[in-house]
Amino acid sequence: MRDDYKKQLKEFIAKKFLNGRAALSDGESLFAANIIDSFGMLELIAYIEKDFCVRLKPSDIDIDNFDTVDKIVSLIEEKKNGRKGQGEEKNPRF
Amino acid sequence: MVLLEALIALIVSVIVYWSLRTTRARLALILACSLIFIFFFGSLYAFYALLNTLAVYWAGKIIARRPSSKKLALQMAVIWLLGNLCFLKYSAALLKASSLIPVIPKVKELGLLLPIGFSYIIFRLVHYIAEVYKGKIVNTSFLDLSAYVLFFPTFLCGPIERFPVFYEQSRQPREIGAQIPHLNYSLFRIALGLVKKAFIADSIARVVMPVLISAQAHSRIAVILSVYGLMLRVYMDFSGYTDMALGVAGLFGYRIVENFNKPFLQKNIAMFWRSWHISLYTWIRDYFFLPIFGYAASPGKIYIGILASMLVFHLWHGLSLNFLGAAIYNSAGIFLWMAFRFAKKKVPALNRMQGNAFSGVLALLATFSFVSLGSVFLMFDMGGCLAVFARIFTWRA
Repeated sequence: MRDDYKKQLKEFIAKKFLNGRAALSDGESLFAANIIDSFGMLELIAYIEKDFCVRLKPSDIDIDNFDTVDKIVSLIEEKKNGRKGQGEEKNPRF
Repeated sequence: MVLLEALIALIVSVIVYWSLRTTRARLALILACSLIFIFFFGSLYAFYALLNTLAVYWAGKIIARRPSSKKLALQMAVIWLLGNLCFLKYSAALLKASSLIPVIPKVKELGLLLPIGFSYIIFRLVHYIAEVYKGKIVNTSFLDLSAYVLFFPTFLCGPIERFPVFYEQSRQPREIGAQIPHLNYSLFRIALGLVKKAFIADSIARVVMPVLISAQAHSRIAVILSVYGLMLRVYMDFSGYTDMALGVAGLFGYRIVENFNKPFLQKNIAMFWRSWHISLYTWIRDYFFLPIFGYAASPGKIYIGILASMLVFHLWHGLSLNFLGAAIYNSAGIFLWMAFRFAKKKVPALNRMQGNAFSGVLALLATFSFVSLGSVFLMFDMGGCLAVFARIFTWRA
């Protein structure tokens, strides 16, 4: 299921933001690589809520949760399953 | 004389700082230096800054200890902070505006002046309390928070450093010997900032300001070149201050976030704003744009969010028509760029064009020209802006 989410998400990002750039890796930072900006993040949120049928809470809208495909899929899984995803720890404490 | 005294005070505090062994002692020294620095602007300001820091620290404790009250504590703290900022920043302008309306009774001016650098304190405190609420900041002391919030090198004009970065750096074991390369680099940044501010920015100002102040009396080409010069002046002035702030912070071993990333080499307006005053851009993104417009996002919200963010970015400077004009002008620029980005997807020829060197140079020039024209809003009142625009865009020999 996780792989299906990743594939679907990558297709959306490639179509919307990559403009023919090379394929995206799961851990690549979408913001550091200038693939997505804050406006793009809103488009991504709207897509996730609509196509993955999840409802994000205000506290989910954190740039850390959307930085990589892995983190986004973990968030989607968390929302769908009502549990924390398998990715990196959310909101790590320093 | 004041500059010499400040320089001596800085040298003494750097020497004392590196002779101290514990984190606590070093933070206490930084806090003492910061309070003395603010004290020179008025003793009440130092007290006021500490009071706000204490209020937010207390709200943070409530958030950490009482989960049932955490949302209320966050809301109260943010309302308190932003209420303070708006009251001090805008009360004079609002009173002045109300005096123009005959039916509103005249109110004597309150004589309040926003303590210089105070808005940066508010930005740091909002960041702190929001991250405490998210659970990303835990177990901090009042000394940590107050040293971070009032950190004197970045007190006057930023950058807005993030608390976890400051905290981590204050905990790193630091020996003066290992810091020599960084101290040398910090001295270089201070010198670079001084050159940018005192020589380049001020020299450009002496040339371009007289032309722009009496734009109608000068040729169109002189006014256009002065507009480009004005943007360079704004950059040299602000980035010069930032260089000095980073340099002084570096003398105490802190590596503060960069505020500019080659803004004049960006090929569109959105990328320009991501590389200009970066710490304020990311603050607005993380604590205004995303929390308010990110939730239940829709394409329409993006446009409203851009305009609202630009209003915050510019009206933070002051409540006046020229800053309102700057916000609308720059929002319009981003909307145009987004429309172009959309058109590129529909018209493959546009996409192909973008790949060649000529279009790259053109994009760079277009972006620089657009933001240069926008810089007029930052330096002149609305009447002055209109006079400059009229000289450039209306035909006259």
